[in-house]
Amino acid sequence: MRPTRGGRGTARGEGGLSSRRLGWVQATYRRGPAVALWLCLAAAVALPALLLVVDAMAAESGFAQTLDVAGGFSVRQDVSGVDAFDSLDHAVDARATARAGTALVRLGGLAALGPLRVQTLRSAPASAAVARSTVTAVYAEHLAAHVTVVAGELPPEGLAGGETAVTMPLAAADRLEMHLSDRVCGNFGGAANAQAAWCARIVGLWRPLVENDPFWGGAPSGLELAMGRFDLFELAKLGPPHPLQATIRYWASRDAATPGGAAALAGSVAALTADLRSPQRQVITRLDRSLLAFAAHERRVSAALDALAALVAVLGLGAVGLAADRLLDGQRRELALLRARGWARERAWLVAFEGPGLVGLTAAAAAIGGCLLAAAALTATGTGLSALTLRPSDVPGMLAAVVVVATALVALLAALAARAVWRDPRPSAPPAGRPQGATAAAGAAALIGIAALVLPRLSDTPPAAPALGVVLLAAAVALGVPVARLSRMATVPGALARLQLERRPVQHAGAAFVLMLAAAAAVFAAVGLGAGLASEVPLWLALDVGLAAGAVGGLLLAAAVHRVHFQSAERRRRREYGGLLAHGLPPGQVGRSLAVEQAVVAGTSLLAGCLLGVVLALAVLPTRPA
Amino acid sequence: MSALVRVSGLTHSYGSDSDRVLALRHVDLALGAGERVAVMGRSGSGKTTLLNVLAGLETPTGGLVEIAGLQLGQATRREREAHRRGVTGYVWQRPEDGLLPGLTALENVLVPMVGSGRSRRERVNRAVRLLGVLRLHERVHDLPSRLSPEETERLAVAVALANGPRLLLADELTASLDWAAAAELLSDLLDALEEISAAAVVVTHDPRVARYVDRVLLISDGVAVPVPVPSPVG
Repeated sequence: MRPTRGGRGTARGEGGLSSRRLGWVQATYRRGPAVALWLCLAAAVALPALLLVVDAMAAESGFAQTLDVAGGFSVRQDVSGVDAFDSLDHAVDARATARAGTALVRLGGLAALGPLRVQTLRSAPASAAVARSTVTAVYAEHLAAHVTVVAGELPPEGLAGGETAVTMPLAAADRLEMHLSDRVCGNFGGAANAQAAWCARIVGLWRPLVENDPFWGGAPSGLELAMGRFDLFELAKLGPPHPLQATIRYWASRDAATPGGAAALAGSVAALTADLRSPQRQVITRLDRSLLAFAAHERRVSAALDALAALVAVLGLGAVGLAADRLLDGQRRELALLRARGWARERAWLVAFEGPGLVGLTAAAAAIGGCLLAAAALTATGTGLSALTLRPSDVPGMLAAVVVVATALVALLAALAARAVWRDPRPSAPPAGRPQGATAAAGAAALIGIAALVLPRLSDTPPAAPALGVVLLAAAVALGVPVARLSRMATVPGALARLQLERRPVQHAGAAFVLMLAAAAAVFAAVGLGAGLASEVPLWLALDVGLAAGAVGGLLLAAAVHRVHFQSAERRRRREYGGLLAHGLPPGQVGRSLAVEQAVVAGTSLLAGCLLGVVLALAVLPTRPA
Repeated sequence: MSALVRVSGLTHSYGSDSDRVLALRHVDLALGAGERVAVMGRSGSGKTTLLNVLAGLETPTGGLVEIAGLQLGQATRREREAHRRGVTGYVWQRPEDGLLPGLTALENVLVPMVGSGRSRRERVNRAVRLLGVLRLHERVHDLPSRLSPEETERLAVAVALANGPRLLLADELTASLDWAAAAELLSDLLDALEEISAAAVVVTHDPRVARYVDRVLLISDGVAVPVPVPSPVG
């Protein structure tokens, strides 16, 4: 009991008593229902939002990983000279641009000549170890942009004449005992003691700027002597045993494609491959196959997470409906008093709506904050799922879903507020009976809503769709007839419970509905998690995280709602049975009768929920790759 | 004295055709501005129903009920709301039924004035003054749960008078009080009513309350008959 408000015996803001302030006071005066509503609202917003964020993170992180691992696209062909190299370069570039647009980023041309054997180093015969090694002479376009120079310099492109200037990776130089300014001479193939045909001076040592730079084609730079274009083609005139090998390299750009466009990009890459491949020309890529595999898996993972998000969204709506109804039920007398004092229905509605609405605003803010924190925590775990991979184009979809959920919640609160102020304005009148048909209709509508959301996703597995429909129907029927088990119960609690359930068979429909959906979410998640855990692939990891979060959140929500509902039911029962209690009915019997009702409701809804969960899992969950 | 309340042949029943309960039968009542009537009768005789009809909480099922020129039987919802807001003030049998437990005494008095067109300062001044008239000036910031039964009753009266009603309807105003406290409350109420020239219909079981009113109406089985008034107080 609070004697005064404001702490110092003064009530702040009394002069500005408005419908909004009155609504807030009314909503928060009874702490228990207000806290229950806050938790339900926060969960109703946070759970679907988190699943959608995880879904988007899964898609983006999976897409990024696919491109990181398999984003290369190279065309290789032996060329006779600089003209053939340029011709190949132009031909490939034209096709790549035509087929893939900006999705394939040109890394540059590469020409390689080898093997080259070192005969002398610093004018002395090379050591046996060095003489046994072979190096490759390369010209790599845009080399300077991908290396950091450790010693010396990279000669500018186009500089020619005089002694050939070469650069090399520091690691290769160490291995071959070479240093900056060393003069190195060698020839192609042949024996180690053959006469040197070609000499060059090492003018720069470097190391790759980024180890996993796509520029290196997934392999670290090896024993290479890098030189200018002119020098390499001059070297090619010395009659190497193998022709000069030209490679035009590309890497798929994450900026020019989205996870949703992966299949289309795969098609473009496949078409480009077909265009470019010939007996003389090799296309080296696994980009198209990797993208197709990613797209297929992503679609199924997304469908599973979307289905779970829809399930928990409806579950959240049910929970909020129940909690808000209990909160407004506690205010029924006071709202009627406002009407009796001459407040217009609209103004009284504002009080009934704004109170829970303000509670909802704080809950939604907390929910969104919680989602961001969860996304940050997932990113920090370093498992490959990263919020940093999200891009602005991911936001509208997630935002739209959150807006839909928020709008549904607002509409629900508005409807419940309208129902609370619609009736008899006499504050001392007994509480009006609940429109039970509306509860049943809301439950049926929600089930149909889930079906509508999920069924279109089931195009890959048509046999499961009718089964899902049957289970949804069975679940709806099961909710309406929780009295079957009571028909043979002859004890006093059993008789009281049967009386209640026969007289108002859908009084527990809201709680049963929420419990059924929570059970469905839990079973759905359990089946999914049972199929494999802790994968390192972001897509599957996201599925695991989403399933676990949805199931745990749903069960906690259902448990809270169940408690709120049956506590409220117990209070109603004690009022209702006041006469019987006065005539000697032991209070314990009332509690036991409610426990019987609770057991029947819980048993029925858990059974229906498990069935729904199994069918949803069979229909929607993807099969994991081996 | 012009008639503020004109009730003629008022009939009111509850329930459907098959289980109809007739609560009031052909009740006639006329009340001028500032006039005070006590309504007496046995429990279930229809006294509270009469108050609810006069307050616009129940729509009469038959007869004429006209208050301050508004025929309640034909009134629209908005007219009935305006009637409850500006013309009548109601004190329920259990005074806490008329109070919001989460609001302080001052806020409770402010509640009926929300949307009344008065400025914020005017509303607060009026509420503080009313609480003073009803001897609650030291309880302004207390919640109803902190008040004694007498103070709760006084607060309920203050709330009912918040908008300066032309007709106060009080149901068993003094039932929960000892006579000394009841007499003091009735005296303060008369002063407050005097100040705004408001009429009053007071339902009571206590014949002593009749000494504070101009007329007494006895309701028996839904039928109202006037009875002699005891000698006035003081």
